[in-house]
Parts: sequence; structure tokens; C-alpha cells
Amino acid sequence: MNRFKGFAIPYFIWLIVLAFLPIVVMIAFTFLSMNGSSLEGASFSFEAYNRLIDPSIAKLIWNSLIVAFWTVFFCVLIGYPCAYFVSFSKLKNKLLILLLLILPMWSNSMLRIVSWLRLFTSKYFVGFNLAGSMEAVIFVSVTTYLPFMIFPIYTILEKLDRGLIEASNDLGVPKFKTFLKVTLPLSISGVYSGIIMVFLPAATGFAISQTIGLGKIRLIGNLLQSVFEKNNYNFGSLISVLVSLVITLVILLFSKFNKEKKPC
Amino acid sequence: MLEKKSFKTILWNIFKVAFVSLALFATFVPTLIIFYQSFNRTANSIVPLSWGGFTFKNYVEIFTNRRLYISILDSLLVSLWSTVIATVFGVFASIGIHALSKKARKTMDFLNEIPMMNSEIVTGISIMILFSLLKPLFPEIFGFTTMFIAHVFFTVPYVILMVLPKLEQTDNALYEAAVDLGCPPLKSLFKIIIPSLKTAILMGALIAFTLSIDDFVISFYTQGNGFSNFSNYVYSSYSKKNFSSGAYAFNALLTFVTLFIVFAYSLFTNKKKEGKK
Repeated sequence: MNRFKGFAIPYFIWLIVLAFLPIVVMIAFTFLSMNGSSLEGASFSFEAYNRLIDPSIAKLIWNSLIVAFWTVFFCVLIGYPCAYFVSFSKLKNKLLILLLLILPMWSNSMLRIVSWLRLFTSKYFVGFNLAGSMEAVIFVSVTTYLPFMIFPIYTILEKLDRGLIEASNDLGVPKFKTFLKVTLPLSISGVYSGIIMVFLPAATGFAISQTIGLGKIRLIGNLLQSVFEKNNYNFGSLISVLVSLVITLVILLFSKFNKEKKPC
Repeated sequence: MLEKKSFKTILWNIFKVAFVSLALFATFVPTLIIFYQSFNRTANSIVPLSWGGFTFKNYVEIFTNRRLYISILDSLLVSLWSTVIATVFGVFASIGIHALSKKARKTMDFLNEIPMMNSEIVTGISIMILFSLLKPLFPEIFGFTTMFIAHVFFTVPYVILMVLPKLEQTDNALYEAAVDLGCPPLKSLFKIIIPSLKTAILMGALIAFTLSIDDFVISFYTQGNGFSNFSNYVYSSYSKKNFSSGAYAFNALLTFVTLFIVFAYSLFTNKKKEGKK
């Protein structure tokens, strides 16, 4: 099989060109003052960095982290019990429930967001003033990304050796303690992958905050979108690099935490 | 004592069912609204969600609203092509990665994680910036080309994610036996290794297609020159208030068709199983 090493080369070049090169270009762009994306007449400047001092940007980043945090929090709070109940149920048709879980994902995500907005602005909800509020943005994020939390947890729970739980029960450990000491630690890696899968889009998306927030809720994704709409490539690149850095940092912190917490 | 305990279990069971159904229901609300709107006469208007009478007009609109059906066709065009290319690309990349030495493998794994770990918005912007540098040379590059490349880019890692673990489980001895018996290596690859990966390849393709057809953010940054996709049609037309309710109808139709296929498939496999018994 070793003779097929060469098959990796096209993909390697592809990744260098499309994943690595843009990062270099973006970092270079942050030091340039230019008109749109054209390099003609571009000159070296710290203009983009000066704009970063604006406190409203720190607030946008903070807002995004808050929305992402609550979205992840509620997704774990709802998603874990769901996956647990389905996985440990004696139902014959577990697959049917899973199918029901996937079904909403067959609808276009943008259209689902628009549908929520239509519901929030309908006469049944008019008293709550949901559209344009942070709570509504978080709520829609939770319902949109919940399946991404349930699936990894469910997969891990299905693979879990039920003998361990039975052994713990047979040895007289209370059920709740068994869950805390056996089931939870063994399924925590599913929770971690779920958290990353929910955190990433929730923190950086702009469709939900733009549509449900009626443009009043501004997250980092909204800033990026409006900056590129105005052809501010240097400032936009700086924000993109910053977002990547923050996300890498969060994931690194997370994987470190994950390793430390791993049982045995 | 015994009765009390069973009462508690019943309560617990009710709680479990209620919890899961409630969570499922919350994710179902938008789908239900889409169905409702697809038959609603006043789905299109600016008036708040209300029943204006039953109609099939929205379904007709899929074919009569030019902007809508062009966006649907564009979506399908990009997703079908990118799924085919990403699957082929992903399978060969997996075979290549599988053959690499440990050190080279680590670098590849790291690079391969970039598209998955980076946020969609940064991926979209990266590709947009890269191609906007090429714009002076190819002014017409934005549109199908950019969106297609972007979709292949972000779906290949998922194909590899499905195929590579399966490849590691496959028995090398079979391949080596074929080569020893005089079968050319490339032919053995196609006759032995690739057929053994069939399910994984199919799963990878399915995930790639699902992600691609539903994508909004990456397509948002790579659309252009009148070429867009369905998600972006919904986003832009909704904010510009010229949204066609045919979008609801198209989505409902797609769900009906998929459901029908799934049920037909499960019926078919069930019958097959019974036949075997």
C-alpha cells in the first residue's frame, strides 16, 4: 500500500493553497492600506490596528462569546439528557427517533430561521417582543444547533459498555452515583466534540443574529459581513485573523482541559 | 413500598418521554411552519403569520418565479458536482494519507483539520480573498467556479473523516495477495480496497451533499456574477422583501420526497430481510 503515498500530494498542495496561503495573505493585508482587494497603490500602514482600539469591537466579541456560551450551555443541558434517555431506553425503534431528530435538518437552515422570525412576529407572540432580543437569538441558535450536540453524545453512549454500569449497580453503588462516576466520564468526549460543533457556528454566524435580531443584535459575524460589504479588506482581514486566533485559543484550552479530565 | 417505587418509576418515565418530545418539538417548529406556509395563500405577504386559505399556488411558483428556480438549479449544480469531486478527491487523499509515514501523517492531519476547525465565516472570507486576488486576471471567476471550489474544500475533510478509519480496518493482506498473484497495484486498488470502502464512501458522499446543499455562510462569500444558491436566495430576498413563498413549497416538497425515499428504502430492506428468513 505504501506505493500510494503520492495520492496525498495533490491534497497536500490543495490544502496549502486553500487553507494555509489565505492565512498568510490575510496577515499581509492587515498591514496594508488599500482600496478594496486590489494591490495597486497599496501602502504599509497600521490603520487597521488603530481601528481595533474602538471599544465597540471588544463589545461585539464579548457579545458573540456570551451568545455562544449560553447556546452551548442550553444545548448540553437539553442534548445530554435527550441522548441519554434515547440511548438507554428499551424502545425497539431507536432509529426512528434518530430519524425524527435529523428530519428538521432536511429543511434549509436559512428558511428555518426565517420561519422562526415569522412565528415571533405573529399575533400569538406579539406581546413578548421576541424579535430583536438577545434571548430570541440564543433560543433560535439552540434549536438550530441542538442536533449537533445530541449526535456525538448519542454515538458515544451507544458504544459504551453496559456491563460497566451493571457491575457498578450490582456492587451496590446508587444509580445517580453510577451515572456520575461511570457513565458521565465515559461519555464526556462526546460532550466535548458536541460543544466544539455548537460553539463554532454559534459564535461566528451572522444569519441568526441578523435575521432574528432584526439587525439590533450585533455579533462579530455581523461586523465581518458589514466590513467586507464596504470593501474594507485590511480591517476585515484583521478581524478574521483575530476570530481564528480566539477560536484556536478556545479549542486549545478546551483540549487541554479535556486531557486533564480524562479518567485513568 | 413496592407500589410507591413503581409510581416513582412511572413518573420518571413520563418525565423522560416529555423531555425528549419537548426537545424534538422545539426543533420541529420551523419545519411545521414551512409546511404550513407552503399551503398558505398569504405566506408571501408582509402581514404576520396567518392562515389565508389553502392553495397549491406556492408549489406552482417554484417553476414560475425565475429567481427562485434559478437559485434552486444553481444549488443543485454546485452540490452535485462538489459532492462527486469531493468524494473522489477524499477517497484518493485518504489512500495517500494512509500510506504516509507517521511524521508526514501528523502534518497532514493538522492541515486537514483547518477547514473543519476554522469557523465557516473565516473559511468563506479566506477563499474570497484568495480569488479576489485573481480577479484582475479572471474578472468572471466569482460564481460557479469559486463556490464549487469552496464547497469541495470544506466537504473533503468530512469524506476523509468517514473513509480513513474504515481504510485502517481493511486487511492489507488481501491487497498484497492480489499483487503477489500478478494483479497490477492500481487494478488491485480498484478491485479490492475501494469496494471494501463502499459504505464509508457512500456515507461520506451523503454528508458532503447534506452540508453542501444547506450551506449559507461559505456560499455567501463565494457567490457572484448572478450565481447564488438557495440559502442565499432566502437570505437576500427576505431582507429585500421580494421573497417568494415558493421557497417554502420547494423545501416542503424536498422533505416529502426524502421521507418517501427513506420509507421506501426501509420497507424494501425489511422485505429483503424477511425474504431471507
